[in-house]
Amino acid sequence: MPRENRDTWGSRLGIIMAVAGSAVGLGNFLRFPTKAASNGGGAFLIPYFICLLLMGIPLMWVEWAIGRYGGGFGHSTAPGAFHTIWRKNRFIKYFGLIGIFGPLVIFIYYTYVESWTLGYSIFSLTGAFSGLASREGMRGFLEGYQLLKHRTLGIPTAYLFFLATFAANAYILWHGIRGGIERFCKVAMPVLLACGVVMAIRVLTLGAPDPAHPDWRVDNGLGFLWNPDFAVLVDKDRVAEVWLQAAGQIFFTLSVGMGSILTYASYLSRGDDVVLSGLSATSMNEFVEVILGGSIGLVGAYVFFGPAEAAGIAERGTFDLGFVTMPLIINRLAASSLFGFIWFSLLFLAGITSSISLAQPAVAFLEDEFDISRRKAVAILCSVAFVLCHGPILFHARGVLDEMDHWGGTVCLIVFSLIECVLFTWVFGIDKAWEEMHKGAQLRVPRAYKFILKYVTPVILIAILVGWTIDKFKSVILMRACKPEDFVYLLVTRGVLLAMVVTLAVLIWHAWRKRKGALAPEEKR
Amino acid sequence: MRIEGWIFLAISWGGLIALACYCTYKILTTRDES
Repeated sequence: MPRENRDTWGSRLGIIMAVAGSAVGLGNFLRFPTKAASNGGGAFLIPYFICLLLMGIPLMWVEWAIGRYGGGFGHSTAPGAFHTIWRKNRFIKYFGLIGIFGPLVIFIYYTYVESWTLGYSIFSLTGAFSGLASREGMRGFLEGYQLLKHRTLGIPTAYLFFLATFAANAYILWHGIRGGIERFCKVAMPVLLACGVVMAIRVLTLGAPDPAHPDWRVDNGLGFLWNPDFAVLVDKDRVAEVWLQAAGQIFFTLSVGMGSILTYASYLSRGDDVVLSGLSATSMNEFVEVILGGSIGLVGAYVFFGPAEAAGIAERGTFDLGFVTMPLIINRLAASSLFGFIWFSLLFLAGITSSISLAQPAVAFLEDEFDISRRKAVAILCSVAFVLCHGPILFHARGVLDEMDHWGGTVCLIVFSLIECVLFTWVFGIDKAWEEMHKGAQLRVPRAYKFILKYVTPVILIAILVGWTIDKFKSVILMRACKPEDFVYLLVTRGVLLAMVVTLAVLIWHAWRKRKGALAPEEKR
Repeated sequence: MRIEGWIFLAISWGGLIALACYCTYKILTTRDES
């Protein structure tokens, strides 16, 4: 039976803001423009929007619906929700551990990356990097910061900002769904949107700031991102990669396949709408990603550094754009301290609204399955996560962060999405699933989605999984791309991740064993 | 920017703004039962 004092959302706006906050992250502003520019520009948007319609939005509805269904039985996390859907299978709850393990792994390294944005927002105000005008200088500044060489009062500055960021996350989680997460997101998301609009307007009104290069204009900067290169969609050597990148971006941007949305939706009542709310959260995320994210970083890079350098920035990816290129762009603007603060505060808000959602499944699991208080669950989770966070902090240069991102942020997402999609549409049954989705719905989903949910979405997910397995599995398992000096660090990281999986499996086994006596006969499996 | 770029930008931005407006309209005109 559900606990009587289960937390709930205070309003529909609250959960939409929280889910949109979970989805809007650093990737919206840093990953999307680099992926689009390196994969055909406007042409990338064709597979991107097709994947959004056929995979992203259906998975969003599936995860909302499973979450609300599981929440009705007092389960806020995937093990319990999966078990309520397929009671006859005693092993399905163990597959649900991916919905706790994945977000927890991401939380462990993401909090550290998030703390860089807090650090850089303060550096913008203090002028710590305002004198740096070269790419090498800014990269050196970032590496010094990441490798804990900068010190404040004898303590590495990056570590101080990590402590502040971690404490902020813990504080919000401590105050629960309604008093913490919902309250925070209802303020943070409008502020984030406002900051994004201010930055986009500033970049889009730059004109051609370098008189020596009149062609380096804003409209050409937009063209750098939006001019379609259809060759990538017909080139048989590149087309599969472009589709995989587009599908991957949809996964990352919507936060589907993590388990966080499932947990958030579990705090809804049975009659609450999930269709319109899920679509609204998706819509907000896409607005931020395509319109705001696509108008700031790379467009600014183009007008200040030209097309050749902008192409290099797109190839170098997320961190280079966010922490090397953007500070250099901001240094060239009037009122650079203010715009630097706005940019990095925007990233920090995008980060923290995501990280709290990543920690919530583990907190909810302890609360629901072990019947302990929220504050005790937060204390346990934060103690464990705090210790584990030191891996990516201390051994960032050894590739620990990338290793965790690979397993928690890539493999788990695809596997978990496939499990929940098949479970909901095949095991639960598409007719029941359709009915469940539409309980309290304030929007009718087009009937074509019945077919898409049952056949198209699982096939796309299987194709991605098979593609990844053929392309990467062997080299990843055998660690072929790993530098010899990093081998031990990555092996230990894998050992820790494996230990986390085993611990979660034991906890699930123990929780079900403990609950067995209190359950109805049909639930005793 | 080439004309095809403007077309892609207009369709994408237009579609997303229309979707955002539609969702906002539906949320504002339907009762919140949570």
